[in-house]
Amino acid sequence: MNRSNKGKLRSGDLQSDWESLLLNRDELAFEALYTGYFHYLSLIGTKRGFEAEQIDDNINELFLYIWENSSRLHNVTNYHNYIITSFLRKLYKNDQVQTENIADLVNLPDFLVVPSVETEHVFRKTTQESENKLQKYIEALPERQSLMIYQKFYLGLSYSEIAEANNLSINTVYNTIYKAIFNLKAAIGDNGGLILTISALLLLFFLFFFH
Amino acid sequence: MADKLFEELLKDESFLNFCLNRSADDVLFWQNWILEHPDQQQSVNELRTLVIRLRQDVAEAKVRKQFSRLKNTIDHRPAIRRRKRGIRISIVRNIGLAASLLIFASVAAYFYMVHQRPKSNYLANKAHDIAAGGERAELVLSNGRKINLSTAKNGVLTTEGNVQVAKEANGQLVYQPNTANAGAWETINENTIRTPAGGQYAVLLPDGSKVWLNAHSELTYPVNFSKGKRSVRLRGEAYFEIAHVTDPQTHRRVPFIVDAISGYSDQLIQVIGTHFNVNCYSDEPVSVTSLLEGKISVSQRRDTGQSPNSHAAVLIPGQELRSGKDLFQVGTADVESSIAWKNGDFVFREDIRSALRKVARWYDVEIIYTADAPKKLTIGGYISKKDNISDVLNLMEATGKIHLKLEGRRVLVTE
Repeated sequence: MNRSNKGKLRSGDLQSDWESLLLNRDELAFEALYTGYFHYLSLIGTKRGFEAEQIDDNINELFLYIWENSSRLHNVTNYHNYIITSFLRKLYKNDQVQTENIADLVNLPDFLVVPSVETEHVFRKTTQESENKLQKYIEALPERQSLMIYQKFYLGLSYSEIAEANNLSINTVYNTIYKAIFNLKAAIGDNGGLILTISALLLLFFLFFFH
Repeated sequence: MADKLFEELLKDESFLNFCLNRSADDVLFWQNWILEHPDQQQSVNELRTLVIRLRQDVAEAKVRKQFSRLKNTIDHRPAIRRRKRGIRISIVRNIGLAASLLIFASVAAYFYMVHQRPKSNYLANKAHDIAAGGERAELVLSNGRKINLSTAKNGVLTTEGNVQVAKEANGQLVYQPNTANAGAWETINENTIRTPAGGQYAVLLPDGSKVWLNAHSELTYPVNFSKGKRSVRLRGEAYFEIAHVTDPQTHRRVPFIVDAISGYSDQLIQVIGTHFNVNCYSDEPVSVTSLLEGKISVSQRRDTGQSPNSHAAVLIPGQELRSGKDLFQVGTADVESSIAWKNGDFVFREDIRSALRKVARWYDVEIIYTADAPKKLTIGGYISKKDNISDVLNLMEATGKIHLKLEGRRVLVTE
């Protein structure tokens, strides 16, 4: 919601969150774990051809189970494998999912957990006025549009994967995403647009510096 | 004006990679592009900022929404939890009941397991597993002599004209022209490198171009290229990184031509300096040429006649050309999956039959479809090519819609 909240998104020390969830039923740790895994599980589910709604439901069921049984999960040796395997089993409604299946899923990709330096920068440079307009715009986005933006920009799926996942033509996906960007630009307005541009110039300088 | 540009850029995966900092190569490319197009700089930066903002905001909104849904469920469930615990305690107390239940359950489980059709062939397949392919190939010299590259020692294998042919440790063959007597250019001796099923190999051609050859493929090339034209023939699949070469006298760039022979529709691919993948296996109904960098033009030859140009197309990066019987179509390339083989992975995003053809080539197995094998099944997934075949088949079985049983060097496909 506000900036202080975003700054809190931390650098993926989920191990300690898992421990304090098991020991103290720490609600904040639970939320951090949920937030940390949500995108990755979405990515895995979508890549395997499941629908967004089904994926969301299964993530919630899994975390509900973890919350309710946190005191009994002490014998889990590797919480990451536990979460991934349980999620896949739920998705496939099948206990036979072998651990070998998750061999290539051993690492939680950073880009889904920690916002990049550029992202932080863009957030810092957005004025309060544009910020409010943005929030309003995001809240008003139709469900399907925001889902496709999420799949494209956050999960990094290709246009054809998104078209397949939502049963749409590739052109519809292009157009939806284009319209979303276009409307956002209009919503922030000329004034805000200018401010964003200035921030982007800084950003470019910043990038040259680091590469 | 800017809107048109926005639309084009949003369709470009490499631009999005740049926005989201997902690929160092693309970031570099677009930074240079911006420097070369100062007039577009403002629009491009604006678009980039919008993409970054939208990405983060939409993702955060989604998690927030789902988490509050979960929170809501949790807050309304205390009653159910208590009841569950009650049942558990009473079972533990009544040991007799627990024991009889246990016996009943084991008997039931025994019958269930005995009568159930095995769900997965994984364990059976693992028992006679087939290891992944490796760096195997055969080189045919211009005099017809054959050299097995998997067993040959590293180092210089032979000299063809004034070109030294050497095998390097990392599964690569290198043609090194002897610069001391560069006068003897115009030899037309041809060599052929051929990979078996389950083999792959890389060749560094005398002009500095590098070609990775996938399994069950064949590349024929002159030992040294002539001055005005570089030309090779391909069957199967290969990934090319073509070096820029300019004619020292005319200062013209020397074109590189790939004659891709698939049987259905042969193609001539003309390039200057660029990276692309060509898949023209004769058992694939469609040949696919995908471009990663640079620019290429592809034309189709009908029959084996000398008149190309019955169809022709120019590709830009990120595009692919699909050609086959009555087909010649340019579209957006799935670059990741088309060059996954070179990077040591399988990326399946296709029909099961097409995926199994890849498996057949890499593990040197035959695929047998029984009558009840699914006619059409699209699968998606990725796995390392270094894994044994049982792991790959197991991944496909995880769809729950297909069973794959390994029998010797054959894979039996059932529903």
